[in-house]
Amino acid sequence: MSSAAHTTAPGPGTLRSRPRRAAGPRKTWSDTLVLTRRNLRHMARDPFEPAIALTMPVMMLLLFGFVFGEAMAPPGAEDYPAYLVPAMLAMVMVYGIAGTAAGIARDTAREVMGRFRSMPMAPVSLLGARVLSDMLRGAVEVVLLLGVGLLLGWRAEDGAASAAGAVGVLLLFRLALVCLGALLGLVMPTADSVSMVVYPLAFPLTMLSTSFLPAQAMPAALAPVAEWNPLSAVVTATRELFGNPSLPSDAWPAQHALALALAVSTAVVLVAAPLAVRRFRSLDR
Amino acid sequence: MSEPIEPVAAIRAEGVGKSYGATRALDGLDLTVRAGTVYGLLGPNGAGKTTAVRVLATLLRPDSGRAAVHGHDVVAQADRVRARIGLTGQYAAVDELLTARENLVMFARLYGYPDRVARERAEELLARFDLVGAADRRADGYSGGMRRRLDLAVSLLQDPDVLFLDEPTTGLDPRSRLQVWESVRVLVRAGTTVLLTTQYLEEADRLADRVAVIDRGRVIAEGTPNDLRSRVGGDRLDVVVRDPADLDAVADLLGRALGVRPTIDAAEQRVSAPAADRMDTLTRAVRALDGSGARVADVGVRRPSLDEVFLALTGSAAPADTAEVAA
Repeated sequence: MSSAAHTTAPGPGTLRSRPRRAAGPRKTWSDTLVLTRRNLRHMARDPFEPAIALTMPVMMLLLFGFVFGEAMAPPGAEDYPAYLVPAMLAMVMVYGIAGTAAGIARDTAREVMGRFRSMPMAPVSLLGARVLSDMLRGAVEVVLLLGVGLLLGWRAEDGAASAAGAVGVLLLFRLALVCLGALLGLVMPTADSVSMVVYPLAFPLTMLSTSFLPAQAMPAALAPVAEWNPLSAVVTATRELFGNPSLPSDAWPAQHALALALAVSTAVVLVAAPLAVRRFRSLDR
Repeated sequence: MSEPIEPVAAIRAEGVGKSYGATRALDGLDLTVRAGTVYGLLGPNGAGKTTAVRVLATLLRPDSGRAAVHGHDVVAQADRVRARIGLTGQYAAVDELLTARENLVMFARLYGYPDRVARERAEELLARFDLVGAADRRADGYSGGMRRRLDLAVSLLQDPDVLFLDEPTTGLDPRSRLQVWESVRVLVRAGTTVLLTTQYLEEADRLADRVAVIDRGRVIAEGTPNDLRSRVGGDRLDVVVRDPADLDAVADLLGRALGVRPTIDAAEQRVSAPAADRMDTLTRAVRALDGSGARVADVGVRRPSLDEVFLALTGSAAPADTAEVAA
């Protein structure tokens, strides 16, 4: 810092005469985009967590599809890749919650949070940016997994519109999990504690569903749990929209899978998002 | 707020209280900072300095009392306050995964500047804070001094009227400390109001026009650094002896030579006396000690420490046991 350079310091407030966007919906949106870019840079520079979250399902898809293959296929699912791809897609959506929660928990613990809060910006754009960047990440994950599925011989059998609908169901489900993850990240004390909570919860959630096995194959006490598991509804709805085989089931949730998947996802968004915003606003005040 | 008689103060706090559970971090804090001046909040860890800054910078909602920056209430008009302030914390609050340039552009955009202006502003500040060479390196690889400079640069993006500096030089090496001081002086010359917290008497002395000493969340003394020094008793002469048996004799000797009543610290084997004039006191003391037969280990004149300021103002030493309480 040379003192010669210092003498050019402008007086306070001189810059404020320059055009500046005032608070309002447009400023909030522009802040959200600026912060989304920041989050994407974070993912690019610290890619370990997103890479793991994506590698695991791809690896499982390859293992189940190639290694175990037909031997793993449950009765009624002759074409195992077709059966498996929707399940893996839904599972990737579920595990994304860890990334969201850890991202939010890290942000709130960072010193930089104090700076964000002392600036003339809507703090809610930090949450908005997290949602946006994690939804982008979710979309990339879906595309990648569909690519691997195609390589394994999986096909969408019901046309492009229906397949787009399936992707829509998955992304709405992801949106619900992102909102839930944001709330979780605001409640958990540290980013490390997030994974300790998420994985023990997410693993049984994915196993106690009709993702991999029909409910009939489970113990009688667990069958209703699997049938009513929202994840089962998402997987079943996705299978239907992709035109992939579903396991025959006459349970009510399986019969109304699409409606249930949409309703549960929407309900979670409507409940978790305002709670997260409220919790975020009350932080440290 | 009462009718302003003089121009609206840059910062005003009236009876501000804030508790964390049973801990009373702020207990009726009153402050008035005139625009264009440097105001120092001096106190040990846990005195409430950081809490005060967080309230004034709209980060914390006070439980009681009120505070305003340029007449804007920090709770009800937080957005207006935020559009006029800059904040630099004890720890550099920048995004560690981004480069210096990315940080500056991002924060400038968040301050509401269009992309082109944000980029220009980033370049300006990179140059001003000597960060051009490291502009494209990630901040997590920066040294402490560089981080602090980047943090300060980010705080100045919107040319704030009021800049809060929370222990700006804690943990910095002497050279970086001088750089931060120089930056503060330049800002003040340009008219910025600065509120800085510090644990160092010297820092308050060097930078601040006025100082408030904070203890247990309230102001226990306020005035210019000179006022404060005269209340504390100014510089002190210390004589450390080799043999504790000499303490009384040395105290006697100094008392007669200087015309004062020295104090004895037996544990430190030290005799201390006020030193109104540094050189004169030292010369007379050394003359008196010379040939007295007392074996002297060390003689020196020094500034009062923060501890002594506290001792003089409160009758008790700085509360070291509360040092871990989040301030």
